Amino acid sequence: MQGNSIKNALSKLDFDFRTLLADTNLVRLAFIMTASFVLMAALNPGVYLTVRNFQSMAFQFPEIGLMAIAVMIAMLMGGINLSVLGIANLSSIVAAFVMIAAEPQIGGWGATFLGIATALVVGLVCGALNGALIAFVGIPAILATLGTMEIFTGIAVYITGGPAVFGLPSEFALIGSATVLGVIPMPLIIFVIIVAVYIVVLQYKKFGLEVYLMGTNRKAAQFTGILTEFTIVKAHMLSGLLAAFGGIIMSSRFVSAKSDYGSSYTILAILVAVLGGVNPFGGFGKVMGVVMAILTIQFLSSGFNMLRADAYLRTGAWGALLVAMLLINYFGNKRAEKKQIEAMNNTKITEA
Amino acid sequence: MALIKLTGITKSFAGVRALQNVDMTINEGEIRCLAGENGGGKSTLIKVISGFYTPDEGRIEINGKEYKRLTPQQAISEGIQIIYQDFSVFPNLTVAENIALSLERLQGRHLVNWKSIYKNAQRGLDMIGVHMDLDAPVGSLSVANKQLVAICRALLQEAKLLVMDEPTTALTRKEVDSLFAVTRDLQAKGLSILFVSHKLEEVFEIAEELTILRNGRKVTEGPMKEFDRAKFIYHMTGREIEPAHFKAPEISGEPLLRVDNIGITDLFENISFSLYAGEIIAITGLLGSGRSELARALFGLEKLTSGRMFIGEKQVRLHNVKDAINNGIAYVPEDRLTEGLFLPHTINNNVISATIGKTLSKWRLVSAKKTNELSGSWIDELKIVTPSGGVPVQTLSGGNQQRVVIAKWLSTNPKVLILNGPTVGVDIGSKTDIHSYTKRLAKDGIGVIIISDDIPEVLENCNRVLLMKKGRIIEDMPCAGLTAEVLSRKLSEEVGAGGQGADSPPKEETA
Repeated sequence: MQGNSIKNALSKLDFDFRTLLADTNLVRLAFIMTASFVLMAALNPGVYLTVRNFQSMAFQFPEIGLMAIAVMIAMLMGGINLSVLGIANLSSIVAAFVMIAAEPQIGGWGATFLGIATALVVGLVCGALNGALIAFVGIPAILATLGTMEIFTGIAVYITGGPAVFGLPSEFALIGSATVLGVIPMPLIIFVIIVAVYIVVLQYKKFGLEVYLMGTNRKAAQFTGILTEFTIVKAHMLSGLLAAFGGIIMSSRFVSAKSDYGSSYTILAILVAVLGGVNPFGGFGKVMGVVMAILTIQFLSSGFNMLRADAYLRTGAWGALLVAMLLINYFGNKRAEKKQIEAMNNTKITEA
Repeated sequence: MALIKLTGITKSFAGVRALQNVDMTINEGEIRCLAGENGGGKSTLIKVISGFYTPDEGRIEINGKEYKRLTPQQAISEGIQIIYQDFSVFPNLTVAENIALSLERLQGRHLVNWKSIYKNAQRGLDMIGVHMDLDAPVGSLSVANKQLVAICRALLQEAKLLVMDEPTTALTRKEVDSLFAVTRDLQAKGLSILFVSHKLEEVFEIAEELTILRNGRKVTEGPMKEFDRAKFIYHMTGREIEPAHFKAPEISGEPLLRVDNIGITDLFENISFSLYAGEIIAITGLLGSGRSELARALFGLEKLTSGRMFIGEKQVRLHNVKDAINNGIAYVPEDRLTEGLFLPHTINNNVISATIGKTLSKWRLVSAKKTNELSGSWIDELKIVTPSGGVPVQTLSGGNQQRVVIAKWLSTNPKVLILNGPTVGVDIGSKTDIHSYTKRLAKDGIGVIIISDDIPEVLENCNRVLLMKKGRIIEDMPCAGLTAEVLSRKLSEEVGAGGQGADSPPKEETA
């Protein structure tokens, strides 16, 4: 009985492993990620392959990785979310005020938990606003989130008056600075847990499949009985939640909250999502792809840093990488399509 | 003299032979009819003539000049103009702009000369002798007038051959008559017309020469007077006699679906009918008669503003599609590409899309195994031709795509199945399969509603037909005893002039 269930579990794993291999896009990304890593390790002998470097990388990438997945969710529906950074900063600023006010009454740990909860609620509300504008009012996602980006950032500037908010509980600072078992950075652990949850929600839940379907044809989704308006709102709430998580990690690392932290993150998050193979027209893209893309960017970025590369050169390198990736995807997909049509023709002939 | 000569044209798509070794010649000043059932290859042949498709094999000769690869630009400059079913007019532009803009472009102008636009547009209208407000937006015109705009546009571009693809689909009898008058007038001016249709009455009325395609092959051609009704039908369908009508079992018990005086303001009103288990009823009418709006309302896509709807004995109110599905209603939409399918997604995902709940594991996660089983069983059941269920639907042929849509809806175990134009753009083999499968479903106790203006489809598959005009059901008649001629006449008669039309039918064609 027990043996059977283990065997079932194994056969299921085996199946998933094969579909992973079948997904040429992920294979391609894994190859590029590994190549970037090997290249940077070779260019920086002695300093790249160190615990210190790995730790430093693992502190840096999770916040932007989460925001990239937030962008990915919007892209799956054929839209985009330009307001992720606005949500991240606004939610961490509101959380900062709550924590500062609450710490004297309920202590550092209590304030930290209250702060996290506050940030997440703000993220959900912001996401719901995005979703409602897109789904019910019918504003294109790019305009709706461009507008809300300004609203969220504007509120953040207004309530802070501009400068950073300091005086956060020291317990809150542990989220962005502590290590578990002495080596594993806390942000990495948070990242892994959230990624696992989002993989399940997006790729294995009914809701996720409906998002992927709706992303290719909203009208057909409506004809299929999917309540498209609510699905869009829900997906944007999940996107806002991720942005808030990113904001929590970011403000914890800086032990402060500010309206213009991470000013390059919006563009970078979009870049990572596209690099990760998310189809900007909707319907296709895997969380693991985005994870590999953010790792690739981090491997390259750290390597360039060690080489003391010009910051402009680095920006150029990222752009080149993005364009190269788009071209590779384009030709790869074309080849796959051709193969499918050939397979189809063969089926027809044997049928006849 | 031959205007256009096609020899040995062959064209395949993803393994389906749409055209096989087709020859056709159109002479100057003749009205030729290209006939065939849906899926016979008519549209593909038109697209070869217009340069949209390059044939795999065969020769195209126009005005004595042979083209290896005919481009759409070359076809236009040789005077070939196609009036497509949707007319390809710009609803937001005015009549004058629609008629004359492409001529301006053809003349290589970079700036718009408004004076010449109005002059040319008027010239175009004069050619066919009709009057229209040049400043009216085309979107506000009737279907018949949109068609005339498209024809004027074609004429201004010095058309020598005018191809009309199913031009009468949305026209009333009177509008058809005036279209035919225009057509004959153009012929008298030396134009050649290729009239594409599957409607027997019209073909006999307008054509001088006839070419019939079936299954992508030319089965016969010749002067119209060599054909009679029986011969025409035989060549169209490949069957000697008109097939038997569908016989519904004895009606008993409660109806599955009953509507009582339902309506939606400005779309349709006073609709009442009942659908019993085992029945296949047809709702037919011209485009714009309200037939599609009614279907959408029965599926919860539009909200009723009056009347009551019952499933069994229970009165229901459908707020959205989910409500309809929960009440056992399924709907195969009119346009499978935009309404029915997630084209880039796999067959599996498409088949389970309305029933994802059935594929969940005990952890409420979508199970790949269950998905494969469910989808695989439908691939077998409906004989979908594919190497696997993991193939994107967009690589399938039209017939197989339609089977995927049907599979998606049958997997919801419906009690009432609404099929809107179930065999439009589907090859003959799939068409037959879909029809026989529909009859089997009825036998199993499902109630089926087919919405269609394909007369043979209605007569062969349904036991009852409801005729819709201007948003009302004007007749509810059994199919037994109804002939294609009678139904086709009823379909295109003007409302209000009904009595008069019946007394003096548009001239009966000599067989």
